[in-house]
Amino acid sequence: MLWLRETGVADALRDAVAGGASLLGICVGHQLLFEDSDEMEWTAGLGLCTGKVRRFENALVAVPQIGWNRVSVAGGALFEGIPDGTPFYFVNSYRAVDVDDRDAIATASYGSPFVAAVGSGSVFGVQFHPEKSSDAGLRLLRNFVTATGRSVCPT
Amino acid sequence: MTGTQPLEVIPSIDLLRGKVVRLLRGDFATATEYGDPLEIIKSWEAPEGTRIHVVDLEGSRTGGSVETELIAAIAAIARRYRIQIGGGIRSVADAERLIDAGAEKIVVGTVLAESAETTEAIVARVGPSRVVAALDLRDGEVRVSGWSEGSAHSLSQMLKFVESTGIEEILVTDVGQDGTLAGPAFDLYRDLFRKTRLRILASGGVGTLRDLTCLGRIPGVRGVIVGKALHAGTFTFREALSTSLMPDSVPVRIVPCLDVRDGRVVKGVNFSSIRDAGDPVECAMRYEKEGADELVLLDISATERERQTSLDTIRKVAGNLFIPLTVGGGVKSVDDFRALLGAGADRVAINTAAVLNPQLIRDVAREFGVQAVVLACDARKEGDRYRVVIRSGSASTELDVVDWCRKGEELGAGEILLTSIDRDGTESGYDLALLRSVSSAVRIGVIASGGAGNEIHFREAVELGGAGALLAASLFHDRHLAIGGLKGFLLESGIPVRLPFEGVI
Repeated sequence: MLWLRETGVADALRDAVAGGASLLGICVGHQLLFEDSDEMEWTAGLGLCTGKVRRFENALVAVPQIGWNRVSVAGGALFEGIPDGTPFYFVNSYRAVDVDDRDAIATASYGSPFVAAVGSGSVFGVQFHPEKSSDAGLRLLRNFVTATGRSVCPT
Repeated sequence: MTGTQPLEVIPSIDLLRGKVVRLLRGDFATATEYGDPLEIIKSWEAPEGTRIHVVDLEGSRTGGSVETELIAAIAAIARRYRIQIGGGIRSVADAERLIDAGAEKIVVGTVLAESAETTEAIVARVGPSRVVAALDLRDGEVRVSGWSEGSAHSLSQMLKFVESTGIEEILVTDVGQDGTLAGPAFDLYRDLFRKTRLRILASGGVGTLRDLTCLGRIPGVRGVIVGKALHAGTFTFREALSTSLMPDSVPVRIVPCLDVRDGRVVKGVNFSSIRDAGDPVECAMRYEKEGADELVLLDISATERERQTSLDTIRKVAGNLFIPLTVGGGVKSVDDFRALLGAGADRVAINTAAVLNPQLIRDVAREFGVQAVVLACDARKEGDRYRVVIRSGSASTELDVVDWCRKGEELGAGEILLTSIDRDGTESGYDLALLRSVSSAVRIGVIASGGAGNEIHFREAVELGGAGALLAASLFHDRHLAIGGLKGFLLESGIPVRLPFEGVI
């Protein structure tokens, strides 16, 4: 994030989104969309979505989460044609919390429920890796392109 | 798969003269007094209303004696918790006294086998919902009275009788597994569900939290008695409770493994003759299509030229694959690790180099993140221990496998790929004791490897071995087992798997 800020990429991303560009954040890219993260040290995010990025707290599950996990789909264009409960591939130690309910378009559960995907206007974020989630992931990527046309995609 | 009701976790205590005790091998002379039942129960921090299983040792020894101390102990506990008590209940009067003292349920075992009339009289007196039928089984046969005497009834006869009384719950102990922490008798419970619709309370062999998750998947199993694991501090009651309430949403991964050399998939036969087994990209894509959840690609290059070719191969495979790719074989340094990630590997497995220089694990974990680091550990059984072996199984070390895996986790490994050298290529089943010893010692996931020969082996590795992912090479390669069929089998066994995406891409 520091790098994004110093190079001006952060501002460029915000400007592009303000100008109507579509954005899909994947994994850390998804986490960057929020207000802040306390991974390593407290860092401000892009602030494009409400919420903070925090480490998994449940001592009963292995962190990082590595593997497939079922995603509960709330609906929306990004998950068009993807059934509720479809597994996607996750690799993460942190996840977004205090997300605006209206932005949460999918959830998953790892020790406890967490937001797996957000959508706010033309900005989307997925905590999982669609590019590693076989056919379901390819469908999601196609949905993004179909729904939005122009796009930038930080991972 | 058992519906929405979570598995009921029922903590248990053994009482002797009103005190909680622990016996060594059932010998009363060895009884260690733990203290006041209420204090012990309080230490569990169980929510009010939790069902607690109480065994009256004095009663089970002598039969039909309900002591004043016991009555007082029950009355004290019953103010906050629901008591289920067993041991020595042989008459209607015994049952009445315990119910009057505040027990919610009574457990009958011996009397069940010995007297249908008395059992029916007890049920008639206290009501069928307050009686639990205890069945001790060994090799599928019913045992009574302190596990030494066989009983005259077959299991099916016994189940039929229990059903006829209106009793709703059976408490089933696999005597062979009890107290061993070697894992519950999953197959026994699975088999019971085929025979009866009584609610099954499982007892015996629970040694890990994963055991609870796996029991919760078996139809008919509604509760589990947890004793030794709590007393031994293996896990706390709160942890057990949280585990039982957690959604079981993480599918186990099926992981085919390809050995690659000089740009081709090869199949080694005793390391001496190596035969060509196809194009890596074609194989990888086929496995993804068949439902593989991840692919492991093992570079078995012998020369530097071959190694360069392998990087190209990995690039090509990664460019055509949309599932995670783990690459291993001959990784010696941070630079090797980086080159493989750069070629498109999602994770890299390190083996011999990590044993020779454990610091490498920390270095790559810092540089690339723990999620990228797979510690590959090859194990060979020596007596009753497992030793780490290196250089593709050709060199022994003094390292104990469990110690090494623990250390690997500490240093930053994200997952362990555990291979039994003894079982590798035998198709005689994964080494379950090896898997269990490691999976119960580390928090990170374990990928089972070595010995898979049929679909039951995969199920065992999950349930008894505690593996989160299951690797096989020749079994898939020679098409002795199809991934789709294997997943269907696991799903029928209640184990979550990822099924093919049915929508349009």
